[in-house]
Amino acid sequence: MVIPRFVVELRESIRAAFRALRANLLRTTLTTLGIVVGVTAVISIISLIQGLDRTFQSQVAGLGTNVVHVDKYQWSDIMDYFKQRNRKNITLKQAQQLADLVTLPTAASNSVSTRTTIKWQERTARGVDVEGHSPQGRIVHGLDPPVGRFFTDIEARERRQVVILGFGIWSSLFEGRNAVGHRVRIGGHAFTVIGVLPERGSIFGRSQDNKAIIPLETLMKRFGTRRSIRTALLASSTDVISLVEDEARGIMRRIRKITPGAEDDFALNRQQMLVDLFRGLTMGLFAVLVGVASLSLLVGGVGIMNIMLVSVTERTREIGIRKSVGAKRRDILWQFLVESLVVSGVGGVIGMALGLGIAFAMAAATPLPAAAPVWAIVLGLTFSTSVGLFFGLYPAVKAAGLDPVDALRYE
Amino acid sequence: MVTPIIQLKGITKDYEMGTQVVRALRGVDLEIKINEYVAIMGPSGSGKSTLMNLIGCLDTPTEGTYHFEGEPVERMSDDELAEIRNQRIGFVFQTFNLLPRADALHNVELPLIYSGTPAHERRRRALEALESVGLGDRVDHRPNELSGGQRQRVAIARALVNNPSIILADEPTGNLDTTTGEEILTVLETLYAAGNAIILVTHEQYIAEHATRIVRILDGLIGSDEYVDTRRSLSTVSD
Repeated sequence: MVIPRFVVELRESIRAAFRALRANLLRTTLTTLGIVVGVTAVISIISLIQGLDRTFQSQVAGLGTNVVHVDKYQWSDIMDYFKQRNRKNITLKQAQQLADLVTLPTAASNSVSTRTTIKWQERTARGVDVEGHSPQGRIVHGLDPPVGRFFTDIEARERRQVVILGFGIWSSLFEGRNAVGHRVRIGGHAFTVIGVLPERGSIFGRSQDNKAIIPLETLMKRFGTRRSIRTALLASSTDVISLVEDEARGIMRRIRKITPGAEDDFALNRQQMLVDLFRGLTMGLFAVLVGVASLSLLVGGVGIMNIMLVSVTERTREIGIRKSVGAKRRDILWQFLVESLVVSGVGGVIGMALGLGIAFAMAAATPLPAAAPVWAIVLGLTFSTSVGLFFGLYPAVKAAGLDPVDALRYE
Repeated sequence: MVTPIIQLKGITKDYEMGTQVVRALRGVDLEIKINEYVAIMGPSGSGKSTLMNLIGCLDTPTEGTYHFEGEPVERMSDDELAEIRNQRIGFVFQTFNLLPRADALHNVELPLIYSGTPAHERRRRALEALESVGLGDRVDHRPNELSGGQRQRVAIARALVNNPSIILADEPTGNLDTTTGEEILTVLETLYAAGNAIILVTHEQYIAEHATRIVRILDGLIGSDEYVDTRRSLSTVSD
C-alpha cells in the first residue's frame, strides 16, 4: 500500500506539535484555559436549558393547545402576583355560571385543587395533589383512566366520595395490585377508588403522577369552599381560541360586575403563554451564554495566538533546520496549525467533559433536568477548533513564510 | 563531457541593509563536477556564506544563472528549491542544527519525512546512515545526550540519508576540538572516497587542505581556484 506523501508529512506535523506541547506542558495547559472555560459554559448551559425545555414541553402539552383557562391569576405574569392575590376568588357559583353561559367552547370544566394525605391500609402517601373536577374534566383535560372509569354526572352532583388515583399514588399504595373498588382515606374521609390514570412522568423532579381526581363539589364540601375556581374552556380548534376568549371575557365581566373601563379582575390563560414565557426566559439565558462563551473563546483565541507567536519565535531555528532539509511552506504551516488546533481541540474536549459533568451533576443534585444534545457537543468542538484555526493561522503563515537563511542564522 | 553538478555563471547577490544596498557577490563563475572535494575559503565578509547559501538553494541570486545538475535554479519557486534541498543536497552546519527534542534517529529521518518515505523504509535507511557514521548504538539519544563530535556525525548521517548529489559542509569542525574535528574530516573523506561530491566551507588552511580543490573568495569574487593536493590530483585549473 502506498501512503500518500501528504499523510507522511502531516503525521510529522502532528508529532512535532505534540512534542512541542509536551515540552511546555504548563504553558499549554494555561493556554487551553480560556477555551476550556468557554466550552464548559456553552455545554453546561445548553445541556441544562435543553433539559428544562424538553421536560417543560412535555409538561405543558398536558394543558392542551386549544384550551382557555379562566383563572384568578395570569400565569405569564409573575411580577403582578401580589397584586393579583388581592383579587376576589372566583366562586364555584361564578364558575358554574360561566360554564353554563358560554356557547362557543365544545366543553367547559371547572376545577380546584388541594394537597393532603391518602392512606390505604398501613400505607400512606403524603403531599398528594387532590384535584376536584367537573365531569367534563374528562374531555377537557383528557383524564381518561385506562383502568376503571371517570365519575358520572350523578356522582358529581351527589358529591359522592369516589376517586381516580394518579399512577404514582396507585403504585406506591397498591404496588401494582388492583385498586378499583377498594376504599382509601383522603384527608381522613373514605373514598372509593373507581379508576387509575396512566403514567405521566415527572417535571422539575416532581412527579406528575402524584395526584388524585375527585368530583369538584365533593372537594368543596370536604376540604372547604374558600378556594378560587379555575374554568377550562375547550375550543374546537386553535383558530377559534381568541373568539372563545372574547366570549369568556364578556361573560366573566358581567358575572363579576366590572364597570366598563375598569380592569379585568380575572385572567385568561393559554398553554402558549407558558411556552412563550419559558422561551423568553431561556432566550435570555441563551443570550447571556452566547456572550460569556464568545468572550472567553475570544480571550482563549487571543491567548492561543499569543503563545503561537512566542512558539514560532522560539523555534525560528527549528523552522530553518526543517526548511534546510526540504520542508515546504505547507509543511511548516501545517505543523503550527496542528499545534494550535491541538491546543484548542484539547481545550474543547476538556471543556465539553467539564460542561457535561457539571450539567449532569446539577441534574443529579437538584430537581433541574439535563439533556446533552449531539448538536451541542458538535457545536462546542467545532467552535473551539475554529478558534484554534482562526487564531493559529496568522502565526502559522508567519512561520511558513520565514526565510531559511535568516531562520538558520537566528539565535 | 560530464555535466557539472553545479554551474554558476555571473552570479551576483545584493542585500538591502536599510536604505543601502550591499553587493555580497559581484559576479561569480564556478563549476563543480561529480566526485570533487572542494574547499571554499575566505575571510568573514568575503561573501563565502552567501555563496554557500546560493549553492545550497537556501537563497536565490540577484543576477546570473545557476544550473544544478543541468536545471536552472535561479527562477525556481520556494517549494521547488525545498525539493532540491531535500533530494539532492545534504547540509552539515557548524552548529550541527539538530532538532533538540528529537532523538538521533528522528533527526536523521527528517529529510525522508519531507520526501514522503513510508515509516518502515525511513527507519531502515536512517539506521543505515547512522551506522555508516558509527552511531548505530546511539540512535535513541537526544542531541543533549551526545558529544559534539557525535552530534556532528548525526548531522552528517542526516545529510547522507537521502543520497544527495552533493554534501555542503559549512565550517563543520568550527565548534569541535582539534581531535574531534579530525574525526569528522575523516568521515567526510570516507564519503568522498565513496563517490560523494563535497563542498567544505572553512577559513582554516589546514582543514581546506583535506580537499582536492580550494576556491578562495575575496570581496564577492573568486580570488583563486586551484587543485592543490598532489596526492589526489595532479592537474591544475585549466581555465
